[in-house]
Amino acid sequence: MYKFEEVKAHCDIPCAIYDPSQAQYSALSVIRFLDLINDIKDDLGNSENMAKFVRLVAEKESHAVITKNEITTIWGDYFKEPQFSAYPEIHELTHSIMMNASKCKQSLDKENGASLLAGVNRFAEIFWATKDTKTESKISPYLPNLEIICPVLKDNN
Amino acid sequence: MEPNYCSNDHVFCIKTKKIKVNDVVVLNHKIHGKIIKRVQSINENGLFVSGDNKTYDSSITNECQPIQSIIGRVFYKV
Repeated sequence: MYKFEEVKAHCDIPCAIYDPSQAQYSALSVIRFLDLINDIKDDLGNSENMAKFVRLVAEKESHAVITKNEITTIWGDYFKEPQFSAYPEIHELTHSIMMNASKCKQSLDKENGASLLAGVNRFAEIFWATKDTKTESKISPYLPNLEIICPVLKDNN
Repeated sequence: MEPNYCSNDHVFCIKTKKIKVNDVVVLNHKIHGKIIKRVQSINENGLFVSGDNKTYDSSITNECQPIQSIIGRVFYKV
């Protein structure tokens, strides 16, 4: 029996813009929220701090979900067979990011945040490599001042 | 590639690099894998392709496809 190979008539709906930076910023936010929560968690005796605590926890939850959504969208929509073949680790890496984001939702351990960011940075490194775009390691110019992997952008000339 | 080529159509393709404008080709794209497109223009560096369905854009239509990426020319559709 002859086997037909599948081909696609590629189209972009609607813009084909993918960028892991939102996931990176969200992971950094999660770490920042972990720091802020840990700063006040032992001083919840007044309504001011209690309100702040609740808000920080809610935002930590929200940004962990944003991280998950951004990564799964790129993994599910952008990555295809050529990228999977070049970077077979992407499946396990994506799953580990999901697990670490969940851990950040479940606990106040900053190590979980560090693991989340490390995974997201590696994801970004692979993503840009599939686009033949060089990357560089930079320190975020805002707290928590941690490493992010950034694309080396072309000059506007 | 609608209305000329639709999902689940079967096409037969002859392996060749001899391509001319308006041919429908199967090529191996560096990011998207095997795709089917129509040849828009050819130059010394490669060729540009486009889709028959003008409702949707495709980023690859802005790229010059190397001739090495061409798998072959579609000659029959079932």
